[in-house]
Amino acid sequence: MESFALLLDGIWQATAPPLLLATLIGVVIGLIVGVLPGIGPAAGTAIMLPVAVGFGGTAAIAGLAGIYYGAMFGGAVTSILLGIPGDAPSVMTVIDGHALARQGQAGRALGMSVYASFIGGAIGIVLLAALSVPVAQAALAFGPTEMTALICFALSLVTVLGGRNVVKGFAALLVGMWIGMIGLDPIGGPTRFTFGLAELFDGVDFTVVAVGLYGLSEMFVSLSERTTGAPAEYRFRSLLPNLRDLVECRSVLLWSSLTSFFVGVVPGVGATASTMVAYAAAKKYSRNPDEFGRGAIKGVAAPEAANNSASYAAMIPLFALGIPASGTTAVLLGGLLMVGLQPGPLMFATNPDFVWTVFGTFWIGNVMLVALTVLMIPFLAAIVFVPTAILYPAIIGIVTFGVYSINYSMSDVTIAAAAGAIGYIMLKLDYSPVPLVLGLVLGPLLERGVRRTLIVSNGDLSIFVRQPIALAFFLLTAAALVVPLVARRRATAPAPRADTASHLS
Amino acid sequence: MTAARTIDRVFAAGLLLLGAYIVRSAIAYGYMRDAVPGPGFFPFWIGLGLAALSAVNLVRSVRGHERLDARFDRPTFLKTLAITAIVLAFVVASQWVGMLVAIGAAIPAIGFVIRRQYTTRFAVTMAALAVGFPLLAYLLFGVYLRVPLVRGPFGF
Repeated sequence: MESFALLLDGIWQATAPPLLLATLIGVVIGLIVGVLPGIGPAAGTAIMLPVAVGFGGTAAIAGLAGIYYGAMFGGAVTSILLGIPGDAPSVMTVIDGHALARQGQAGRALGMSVYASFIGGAIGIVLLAALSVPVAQAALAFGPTEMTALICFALSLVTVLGGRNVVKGFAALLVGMWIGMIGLDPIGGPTRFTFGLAELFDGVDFTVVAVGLYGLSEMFVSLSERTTGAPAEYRFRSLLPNLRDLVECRSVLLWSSLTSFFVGVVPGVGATASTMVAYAAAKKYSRNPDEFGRGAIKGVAAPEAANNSASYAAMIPLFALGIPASGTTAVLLGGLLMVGLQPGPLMFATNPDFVWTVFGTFWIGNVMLVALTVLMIPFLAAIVFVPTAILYPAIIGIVTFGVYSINYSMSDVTIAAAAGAIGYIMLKLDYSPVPLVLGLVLGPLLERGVRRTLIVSNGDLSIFVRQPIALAFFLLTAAALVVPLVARRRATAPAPRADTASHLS
Repeated sequence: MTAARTIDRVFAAGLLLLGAYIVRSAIAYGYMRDAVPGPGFFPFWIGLGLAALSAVNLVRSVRGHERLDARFDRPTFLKTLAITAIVLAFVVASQWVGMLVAIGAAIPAIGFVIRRQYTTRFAVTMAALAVGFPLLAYLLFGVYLRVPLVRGPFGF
């Protein structure tokens, strides 16, 4: 109950005008970002990170988080109207949402997406308030050895996050870890991999690389993708959800929000996987599973509730453990570090006002989004039709000024441009940028953890397996690495020949 | 052999060389110091892992086991290179003419790279962006966020 009292206090604090303004700016930008095909929440937060940090402290994180869950709301708009997912978690919404739009029921689908997003978000925030403190308290038992093991586990989830090609995913992870090592050695050593450039002595800023990899490269890739389909017609009144749909979908909304929260809380799995799980469950337990794929309203409700619930779940590993669960939360981690806060178990003890006020802004933002989405849908839909030749130059302009503003350095703009071009090639070649960003953020923490632990133990490696929590995480890491390989081998194993099968039976 | 496959091999070979370079540098930094890990300890394993994984990727690509769905279409590839070049030109030009003037030139240049078809309406839109964006950037970054923008000989 104490958590809910703290959440209520946080909501009250979040009504302060500067925080309301930051949240409003965040959710509006998030909605716009979510609508833009190819530019998802990770790109949106990365692009706006330098600007949002200028708000300072709680307002900065409120604005960035607003972009995150605003993009989750906005992603549904193009999915339904145009059949183009604004971001990866919106992919499942396309299936039935666009089918409904083609049947002239775009408003019904859009209304359900807004309602489902709100329900998913509301349930996600309640669970976030209830579970983040116990998780953080449990995490207080973590020493450097346990944290090292936990980071290893998080990095092992590249098997899930690394895209179709796991080997390339791990290669990208190692490149990210190497970029994280550029600059001064964290434990009093020499400068490393600076190529004699003084600009690199302080290392490569995470934000600069993330802006290039997410913001610029995804724009480059989308230059080759043609927008298909015409906008479906809808009336403003029809954007309000159909009451019968709400009653019909109540169990799907509840079930999807709850299950997706627990899927989303696992670092590395994220919102995209949760939408797939929710959609599959909704179809499996539906009385009319054949409707799915042809315009089932539950096919819109399940993934939309799921991706919003999971977006709040992703805040638990970020705030309680200091581990980003996705590319977007990795950017948020960068934001927290830039405003001078070290997320982790101690954050709830040392900065409770900050944490609960930020959680309060989530609630306010969720309510704002319902009103804003309904009001802004005509405007949001219109953005999709702004030609890329006008839209992208303006975005690139914001990116260059934003990146320069981080360290007042033109070298950072050069690095971001290079990261954009390399990121374009990586995306084309199936090297997911997510592991690279995770490696860049977590690599330096892992190095510090490993080296400090080994300094304490005088180089004795057995210290890593003497601590039960650390051992458990190392076993989980091994499982995360081995299980997908075994599953893949089984999936690709040749089927038994018919004569052999009949002989065996 | 498709362009994607060639670029995939070149990229994997490049990462293999990068891994070898990291290992070589790590040894120079010092793998161990007084029985505890030195500055080269972590880079050594990172470089070794990168070289090994890149070798696997290279072999898979050469043997044709790598399935690439994406295509490197020439126009998009050239547009990517051109936009990157314009951003780099903006970096250089900013030192001479200031950031606001440089971005005022870069934005329409990027617009014309993406569109590559001249119409009066588009040219007018680009001209408006060329003037409007620097003004907004000045107000947001220069005035509101108090970022010390690089100025040119015109004082802005």
